[in-house]
Amino acid sequence: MRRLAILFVIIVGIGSCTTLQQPKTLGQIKSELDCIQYKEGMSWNQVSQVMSPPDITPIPEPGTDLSKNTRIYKDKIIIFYIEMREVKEEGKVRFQEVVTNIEFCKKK
Amino acid sequence: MLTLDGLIRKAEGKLNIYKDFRLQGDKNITEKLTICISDTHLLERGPNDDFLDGKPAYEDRFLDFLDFLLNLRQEEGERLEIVQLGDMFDLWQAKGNTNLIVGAYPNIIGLIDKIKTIYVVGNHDIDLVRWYKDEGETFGRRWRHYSKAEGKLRAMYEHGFQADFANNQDSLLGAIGREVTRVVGMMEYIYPDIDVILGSTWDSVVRAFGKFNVFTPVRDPQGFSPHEYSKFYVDLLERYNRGDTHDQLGPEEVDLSLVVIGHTHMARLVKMPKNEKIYHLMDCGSWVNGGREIGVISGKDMAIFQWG
Repeated sequence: MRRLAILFVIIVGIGSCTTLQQPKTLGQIKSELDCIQYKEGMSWNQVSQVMSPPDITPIPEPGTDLSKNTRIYKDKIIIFYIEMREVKEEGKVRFQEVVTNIEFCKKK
Repeated sequence: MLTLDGLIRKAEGKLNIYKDFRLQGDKNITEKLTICISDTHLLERGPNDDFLDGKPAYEDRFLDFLDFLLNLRQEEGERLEIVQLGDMFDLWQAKGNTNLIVGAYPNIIGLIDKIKTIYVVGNHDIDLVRWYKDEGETFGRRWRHYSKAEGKLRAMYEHGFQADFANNQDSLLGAIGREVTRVVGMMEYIYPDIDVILGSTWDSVVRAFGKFNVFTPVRDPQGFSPHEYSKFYVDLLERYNRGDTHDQLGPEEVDLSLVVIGHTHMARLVKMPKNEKIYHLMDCGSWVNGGREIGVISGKDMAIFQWG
């Protein structure tokens, strides 16, 4: 019984500590990051200036030419901006979450 | 204004009076058909999500009810008022605040917004008014709502945790209550029904204490009360009617006779006579663990319904 009581106190204590952590706003999180917003056709130089050199540079896929490349970053942060959109499903009003913007970030 | 019987007819058999909870006040309480929904406790569809409770049919049933409300809003317009009485989100147990709950239930959140709901804050979603307290951002949540009839406030709507010593969020006991809920939520990952079992046990203890009036046998010799918060709310309504409040409401503006709450998850409609006046308490139940109750007021009439 005593052990059970101690376990309960420990769990409540740990729970209290996590409760004390205030959730952060996007602005607070981004103040510690360098970010760039994805736009189709944007210059690669803009990306590399913010994100630094890529971690992995795969060879081009067979059947393509050397100008079509992919560059991979490991352990970077992606921010998806989400909004609700109204749709019709079988004549009923329903809602979907859709991605409206993407940002790629690294820690400052 | 649509009557209760008109509403029942429109629902085509899906709305039924719960038990025999239908009463009439001595004066008009509302000038709009008012529908109250309480305690959905939406989470992220995990084992601790008591709204879903592992049964997708519960979500379908609630969506069916929201579809009905959307049609009703289009037909009735401003003659309809819909009040969400708090604990719409269960932020005490949420992994990613409201963010991931919205992702889990976009249809429900979207429809509740679209039917122009008035939101009252509960103890499980009180963080919504705390996150940006300094900036005044409350995400449309209010502490309390009122309805008027004949130029006077006649009904008060709040969540009900204010009357619950173990859940009043301004007290130490309330903070302990929150932690206990979090621990029980963790235990639900092992045994999903543990919250129901512990809740019933707690209710039995409270009932036994209430029946025998352990603490105040001289002041309240009768013991039995049809609702554990009736004394708190009769006192509150009387105080408001006297103008004895901090809300700058004079007695000439106030003639409250009904309080509408949630919180207990046990739907009831109770008559509370005091000092030659009849007060009523409407407890709108919940939508968790299979609950499907709503409170409805139209003019003098009030009732608790079950959907589906």
